[in-house]
Amino acid sequence: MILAIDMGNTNAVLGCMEQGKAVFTSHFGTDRTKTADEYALLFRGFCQRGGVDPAALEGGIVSSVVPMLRPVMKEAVTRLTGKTPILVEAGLKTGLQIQIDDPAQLGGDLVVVAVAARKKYPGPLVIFDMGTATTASVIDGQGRYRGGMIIPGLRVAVDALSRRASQLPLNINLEPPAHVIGTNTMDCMRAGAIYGNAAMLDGILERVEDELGEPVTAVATGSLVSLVVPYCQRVIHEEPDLLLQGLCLLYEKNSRRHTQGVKA
Amino acid sequence: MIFVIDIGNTQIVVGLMDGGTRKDSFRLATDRVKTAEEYALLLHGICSMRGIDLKNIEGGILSSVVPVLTPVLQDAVESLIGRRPLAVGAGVKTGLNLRVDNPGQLGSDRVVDAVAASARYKKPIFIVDMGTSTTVSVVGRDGSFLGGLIIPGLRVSVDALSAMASQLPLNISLETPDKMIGTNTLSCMRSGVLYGAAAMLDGLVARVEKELGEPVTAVATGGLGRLVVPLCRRAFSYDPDLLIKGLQILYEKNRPAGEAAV
Repeated sequence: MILAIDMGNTNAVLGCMEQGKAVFTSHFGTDRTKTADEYALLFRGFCQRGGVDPAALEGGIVSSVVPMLRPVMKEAVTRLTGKTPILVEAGLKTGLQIQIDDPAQLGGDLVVVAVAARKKYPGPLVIFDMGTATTASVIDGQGRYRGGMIIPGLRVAVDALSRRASQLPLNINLEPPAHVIGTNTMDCMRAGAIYGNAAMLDGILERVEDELGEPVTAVATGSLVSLVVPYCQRVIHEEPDLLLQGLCLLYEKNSRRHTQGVKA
Repeated sequence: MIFVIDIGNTQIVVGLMDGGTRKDSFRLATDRVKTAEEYALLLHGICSMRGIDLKNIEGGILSSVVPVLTPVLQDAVESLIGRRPLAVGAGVKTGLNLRVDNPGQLGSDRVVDAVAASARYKKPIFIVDMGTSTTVSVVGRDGSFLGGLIIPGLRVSVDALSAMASQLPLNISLETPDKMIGTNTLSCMRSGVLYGAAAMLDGLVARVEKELGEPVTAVATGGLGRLVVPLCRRAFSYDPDLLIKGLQILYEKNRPAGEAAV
């Protein structure tokens, strides 16, 4: 069993993973000010509630798009498990051919999700991850990571608009309205966020297919997917656990015991 | 000549209209703390710099989505031209049947856009205005205002993302990337924002047509429309002066009885 942690810009998830399956998962807020000791205490609490003894964990792996939290996570996990976790960063074996200008610039979360999606679906692929940002990753028929798009996430965008626009309400609840054409402020904003993003995902898939010259399989993960994907006209496979699955795959590929061929 | 003023959440557009023709226009930053005296000084100064004689201005009209600034700009203009400009809102004749839940809640910029588009394009019309927010307004075949969508604007959204995401650059310039599939952080963000918006508009036009059961004329306005419309697959008429044309139309419609056009 291993500990897998993904830190996003807003939220983070921790999973205790046994052979690619989650024994339990816990979500927590990304707090840039918390110390390693505070995070270790939090993780110990999650493990206790999940019925897992931290000492029984064989190792850990951490991906973080918040660079300043990488050393904090490393220390927290080491404190909890007694083993140094693997960090998702440049130099890690991923099995992906990354064909972008500077592969080291590619967000760790994009790599992790791509590794998991590739294993499950044959290329070419477009992978959407809808969180703080909505990212689109494009993998071609040869399995090469070709690049993608970074789009403001819908929650972040709606909240920013509410703050900037004098006549719009703050902290709106995003529920799908009955009609595309809204007839009050709240429904207009909800339709804009939900139908707008659904239309965008459909249109991006079409444009990527034209650029690649072949049809793609569409996969989506991230906390906001279930809100938007039901309104897409394209078939998009929802895969909520792609990040944790990808972290497990990367752990297997990179853990010393594994590479030395030692059986657990 | 009249003053037409559109107070948006980020910028104030001031146009000088003579009949249906735009003689000049300029922009000010929307500053919610400035006083009427400060705005009057600003308007006076910019007009004199651009050779506009305030004596030739017979009146004015304004649309505002920033309620706190509506009387401030009305006071400022009144102090310059001796006449209080009309503010688009309750009591102003628009000629549009507003078929929304609460017409008082409807942003006056969307009403003005719809007035201008109704006068120029075949109905039903899908109007997208890309500014602080990207608003979609739908005018039905019979000329009724049917409602629409409010989407976070491109600039506001991308700046909010930059502020939230540790590894993304701040204050990026929005330029059309040469390829759709970005291969570095900046080209990924530009592609995401611009191609994403274009894909969204195409899809929303199709969805609105489906809901109405008939094809629409698609019209785009707002500064960012210039970057997005060329990336759309649907044909959009790009009409950057839609709002100020609409304000001119509303000024004429609401001119006091007996007062002739100059």
